[in-house]
Amino acid sequence: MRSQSLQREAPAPWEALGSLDHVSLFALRLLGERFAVEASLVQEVIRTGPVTRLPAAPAFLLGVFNHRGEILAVMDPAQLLAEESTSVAHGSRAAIVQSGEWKLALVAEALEGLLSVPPSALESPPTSGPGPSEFLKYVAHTKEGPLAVLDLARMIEVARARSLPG
Amino acid sequence: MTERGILLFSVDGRRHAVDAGDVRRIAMGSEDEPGWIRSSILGSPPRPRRGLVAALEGEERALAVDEVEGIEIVPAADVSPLPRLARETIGTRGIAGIVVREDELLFLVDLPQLIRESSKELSSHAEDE
Repeated sequence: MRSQSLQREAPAPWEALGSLDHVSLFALRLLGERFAVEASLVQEVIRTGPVTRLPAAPAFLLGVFNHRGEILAVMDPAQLLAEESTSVAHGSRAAIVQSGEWKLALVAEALEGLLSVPPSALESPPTSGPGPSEFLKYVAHTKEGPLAVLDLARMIEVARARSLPG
Repeated sequence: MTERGILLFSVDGRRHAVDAGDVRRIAMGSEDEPGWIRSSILGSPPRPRRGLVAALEGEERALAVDEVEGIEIVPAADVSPLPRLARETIGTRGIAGIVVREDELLFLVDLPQLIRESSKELSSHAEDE
């Protein structure tokens, strides 16, 4: 019994969710496709005020804005996924997310909202390595088709690494 | 309530702020003044009329600006550091924070750092040429 448990491989990340009835996701549209982040990371959906661009900013960092007295950074995930820009206008909607100590606003082509999937509908992303799949935590199979669930912590980590000088 | 003195100025038609304590004096002059930084991440003033002078390593250097509006006392709560993601990913340390003024967000410039970075940029361009 003991040796069996020692030989067992590390569990897949979504296996920890197995005891749950469902997993809550927040769906959004990027690059013409459906993505999601874990709903627990989304604090609120807002309409951004004017976004102030920062000098010498990387393309994924659209700028900063004032959210009820708190200055938040605005990130365009499409830039990290495929080096493409999401069109953002004054009053565009954004999702305010908190991943660990990182609080920021995410823009998307559309914010679709909450949905629930059973843990059995989650599987690991198809490939790894550079490219969009490096930012995926898992793929969720929904009635509307597959949904790529973003690994927000990984996106922030890569964004920071890419911005290091030299 | 704690307050801070900020000096408001403009470069390339855009307003910015700097901690008043970072500015040793305001120089009047022209773009031909020695020791003036005429181009920075804030832009290049087309007709610089003032220079914000800072002391750097015992030397005076000035950032050329279009206009100096004056000093304002603002509540310290209106001055925020840059969000961490911005601080860690933008290619400059010359922006120390953000000043919220009504509906406007102004960059709080770290004057000595901005001058230092711009001087290095100028030196590397000169070496390339």
